[in-house]
Amino acid sequence: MTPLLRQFLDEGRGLIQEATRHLLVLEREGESREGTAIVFRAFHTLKGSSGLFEVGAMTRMLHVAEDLLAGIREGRTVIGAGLVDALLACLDQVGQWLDTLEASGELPDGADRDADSLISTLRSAAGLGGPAVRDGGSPAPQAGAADAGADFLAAFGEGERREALRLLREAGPGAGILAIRYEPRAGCFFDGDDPLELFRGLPGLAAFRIEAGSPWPVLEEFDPFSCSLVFRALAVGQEERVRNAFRLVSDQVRIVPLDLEMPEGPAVRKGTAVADAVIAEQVRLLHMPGCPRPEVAGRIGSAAAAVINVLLYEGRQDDVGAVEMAADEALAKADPRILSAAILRMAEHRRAEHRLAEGGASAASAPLTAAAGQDQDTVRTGAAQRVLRVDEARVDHLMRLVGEMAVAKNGLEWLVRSSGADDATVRRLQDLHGTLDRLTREMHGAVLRIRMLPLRQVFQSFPRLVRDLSNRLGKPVRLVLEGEDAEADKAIVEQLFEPVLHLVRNSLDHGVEAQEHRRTAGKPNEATLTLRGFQSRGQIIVEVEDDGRGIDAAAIRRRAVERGLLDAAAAAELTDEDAVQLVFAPGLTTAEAVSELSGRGVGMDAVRAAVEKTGGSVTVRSRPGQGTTVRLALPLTLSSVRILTVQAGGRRLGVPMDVVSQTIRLPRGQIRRVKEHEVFVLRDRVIPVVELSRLLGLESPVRSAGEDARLLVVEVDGRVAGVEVDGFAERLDAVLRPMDGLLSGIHGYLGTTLLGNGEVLLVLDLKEILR
Amino acid sequence: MTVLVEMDAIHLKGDCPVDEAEIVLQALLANPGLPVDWSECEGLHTAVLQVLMAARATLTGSPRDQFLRLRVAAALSSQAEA
Repeated sequence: MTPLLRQFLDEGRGLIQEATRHLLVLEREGESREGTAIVFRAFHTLKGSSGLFEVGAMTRMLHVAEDLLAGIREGRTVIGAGLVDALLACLDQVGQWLDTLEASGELPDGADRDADSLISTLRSAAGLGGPAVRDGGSPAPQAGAADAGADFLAAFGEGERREALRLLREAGPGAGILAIRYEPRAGCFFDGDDPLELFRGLPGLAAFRIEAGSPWPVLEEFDPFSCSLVFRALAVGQEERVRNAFRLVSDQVRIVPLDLEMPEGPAVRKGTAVADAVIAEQVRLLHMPGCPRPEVAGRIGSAAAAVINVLLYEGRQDDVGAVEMAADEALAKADPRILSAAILRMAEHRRAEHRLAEGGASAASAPLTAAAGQDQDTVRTGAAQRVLRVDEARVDHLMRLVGEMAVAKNGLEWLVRSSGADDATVRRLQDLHGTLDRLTREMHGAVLRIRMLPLRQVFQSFPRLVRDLSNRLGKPVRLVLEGEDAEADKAIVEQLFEPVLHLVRNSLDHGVEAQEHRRTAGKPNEATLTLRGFQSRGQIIVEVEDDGRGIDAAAIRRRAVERGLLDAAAAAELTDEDAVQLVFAPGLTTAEAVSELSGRGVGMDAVRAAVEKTGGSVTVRSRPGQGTTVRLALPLTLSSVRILTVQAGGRRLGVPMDVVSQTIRLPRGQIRRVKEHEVFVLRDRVIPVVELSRLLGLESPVRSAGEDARLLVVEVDGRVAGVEVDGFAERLDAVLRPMDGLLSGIHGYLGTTLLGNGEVLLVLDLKEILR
Repeated sequence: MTVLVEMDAIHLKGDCPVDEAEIVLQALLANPGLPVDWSECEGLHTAVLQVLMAARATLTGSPRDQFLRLRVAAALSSQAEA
């Protein structure tokens, strides 16, 4: 089995699962744009990648299903139980086919018949009726945009198209392939445009070409400040984002979404004689002596490009990274032999694989099984930017290791002090510990930074969204984005979109007045909505500010009383500032009518819930008649803390591991009384014992003399203490949520964390308690 | 100063903004055939790039900047083939 087929099988099964899950959600909860998009995407990707294999029946059926889903997405077709059934049957069939494909390398005999029958089921379920139309072995390309895209596509070679398809498979839902043709105005440099820069920042660039718009004149007559270039590119990503990148030159650029049909034929092609010759020729060129130094780089570059094209043609994307890396190194050291060595290694691997492929399936399967998991966790060295795409789990694992290292380091410190070694040794060990301490801290910071993303990721969707909303509501709005570069952890940034979207909708819907009201209030016709991000005191702050009517504190009080959230007296006592915070209470909204966009009384409540889930908080400031500012404050990271759970005074509590140097069980007889204090001796050191339940003012259990004492040896500010607990339980990594609300006034706790069973675990701040 | 004409090559260093298109053009006109070493180039305005293309300049070296090294270089080589 070829690595590409392996990948298709794994990926295909994943897509079937995903599509199934979301189809069920659609059926249960009704149609949603996101749900439909996910299902469409799954079918689309299945169909697209099936085109790489000789599975015409599957491709044909998926094509029909995809068309129906596109109809649903565009509102032409209504999704009903019948259609969900038919689509699910389709997925079941694909699943069976994948099994057959895995076992025998081809579809079963009756596949075409089955496909026809499912196609007619699909059509009748969608109310299209009519007999199943067979349109031959290969599906017709999507009409419309794709036709317009055909000539766009013609400019790109097969290698470039394959690269685009590969990126597409890696891209998230909602991504498509877009062909871009950008012909800047001749005078664009005078407008301050730098077309190249636009492409530099473009995510998902799969292919990029720069061409002369017309033949170059002789250099003496060339006007360097008149632009006559044409840029062509294929980009993979969300159309909206790509359009957004070119919004300022939208009159000079054409962006066409493509339905990239892949060429027929097996994906991993056998090494042809031509391909072999191309590879051999590159090695020969690289070894050719007497290459003038200035040309070395060019030679390396063109050899690498030629070999990579062969690899892409053969569907061996997995080998591309190694060649790219070798080319880079060869360029850096101006040594072509580095590249030729890598090419020879790759060629050997390639030949071995072809031999295996010819030797039959049984021989081929064994050495290639490793390819199965590669799609998920290969560290991809992309051609576009040297960005590593790493499975999040790997970074998390790294994070856990750093945590363990901190714990081990603490143990070392303890050992140094109690070792009884001579002063010189102790000093050296302490220096070493200091170094380790610093390194651990730096590593911790470095790992956290891997996960940092700029707020731009969230903000960049808003210009388009605000534009659409503003058109729909007939309220002209100017959107101001500030602090897009402020960074926070990926998990935090990703969770910001929903709440911010809610707030933006709310602002436009309820905050910003209708035009005639703004006019009478003497405000500019165009409202201003500001999204602002910055870091402050270890938090990432995002503010959504409008210059609308503000929130009517009196109305909020009234509604809160009506809804029974407060009694009238309590409501009257609230300051205006406190009263407006009630907008975050469940079920409270001041909107007079439930509007299309928001105002169902769930918005602000949902915002609060989403923000608090990450340990953040939300506040609102209203200036009546002048506007509203909602401020979200979230932690910069969702970093987890290693926690030991202990029993004390009949409760379960968490203790952060970083202050615990060890846990010991001690026969009670070894704890002695010295004056008022209980102490024990550990490695020739006298250490005071304190009981955790007593420290916390909890009831301490009666202890029998025969029972061992369980102690946490804790070091705080250079003082060591034994903290007695009733029992040790498991260790876990937990994301701490700060103490807030009613708990915020209680000292001695770092925060809370949710246990797997839903129980809330209070995590002690031993440093504060022991001080 | 980010455009340096030396015996072996015309060196582009650091960021090459739009106004250097003219300087690069003059340097290329005065030294036909002299290669352009862009290994220390960190940013290239489209206008400068266009001059390099129009002059069919031979680029040498490999800029540290990823975008220039991987994307722009490849885009230029495909033009040269065409």
